[in-house]
Amino acid sequence: MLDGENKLITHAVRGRASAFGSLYDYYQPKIYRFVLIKVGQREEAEDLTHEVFLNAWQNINRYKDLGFPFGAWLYQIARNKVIDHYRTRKSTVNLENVDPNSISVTAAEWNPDSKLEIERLMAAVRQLKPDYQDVIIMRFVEDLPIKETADAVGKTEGAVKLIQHRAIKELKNIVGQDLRES
Amino acid sequence: MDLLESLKKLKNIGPDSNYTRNSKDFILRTEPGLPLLLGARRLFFKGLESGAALALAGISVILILGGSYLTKISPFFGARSLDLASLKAEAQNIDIQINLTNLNYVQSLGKTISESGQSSVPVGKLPLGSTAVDPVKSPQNHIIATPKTKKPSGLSATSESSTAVPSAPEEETMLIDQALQTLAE
Repeated sequence: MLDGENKLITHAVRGRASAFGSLYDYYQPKIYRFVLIKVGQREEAEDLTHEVFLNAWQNINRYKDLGFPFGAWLYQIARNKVIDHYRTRKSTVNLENVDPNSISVTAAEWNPDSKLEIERLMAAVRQLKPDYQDVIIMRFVEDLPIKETADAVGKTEGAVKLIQHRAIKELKNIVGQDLRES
Repeated sequence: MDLLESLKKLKNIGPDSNYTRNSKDFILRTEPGLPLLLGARRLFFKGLESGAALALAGISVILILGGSYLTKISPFFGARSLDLASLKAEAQNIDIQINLTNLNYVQSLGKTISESGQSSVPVGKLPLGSTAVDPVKSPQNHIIATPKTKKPSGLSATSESSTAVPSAPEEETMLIDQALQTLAE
């Protein structure tokens, strides 16, 4: 959570663009990562992330009524956008056909081998069920608290813990299979 | 590979800076969601705008349809050139006028021949479309004052109309015969 987030949100709800701009700067990389891991394509991730924040800005007046953290609200919008994206476009991912150039992973300290390894991991995450993907990304990539994760996915904290456990187990199986095949 | 450590590395993924800047600029330039009252007022004015646009379109359609109907029922608005009945009447009038003109010309020609006496028939003054015959070579042929063979366009019906042909051409024929005999002598 951003320092002084509540004040920024109050100003943003009143229509102040600079306040929303600060919120954008803080949450945009998180939402982008979340979407990129789920869809796997940089351009699509950029488009969807843009739509998430545009939607949030245009509906900022409704936020106060929802009763949960601003970040969780953004993740909810992002989840819905990805679901809509999958409805219009069917995508299947084959780990063997992952093209490193199709996914832009910007990290200066990574060598090409690490980059490929990370992209294969992302492809493995995409093989999980949508709910498992969401929990894995929010809990282990973005380090969100369980409560905020529960608000974002619309489940109880207990359900999130269970999903988390099952998701890690399944991901290990997928990655282990990939290692054995390679 | 520790799975959890690998998942943590994913946090280093970030968007392109140019994309981020452009996206943010675009979003912040758009209008935010407004509180309920302001939104309702805006909705009201937008409704007025769309209503006015619909009304204008409807008026235009009515004017176009009404205009086409007026041209059909009213002679004042209708194009004169499209009235077939009047065109026919005009055409008939033209025919009559031509008849009269031709008749007058023929009568004047008769007078000219009779007055000229032994002078040669002014072939060049024969009415339009008449068969010009050389009086020396064929003295028996009558020089016909009114055209019978070659019919020029626009004059065919008029020249052979029985009502328009007067008795004067026969007299002219005779006078011309006399003139030809005189020439032959």
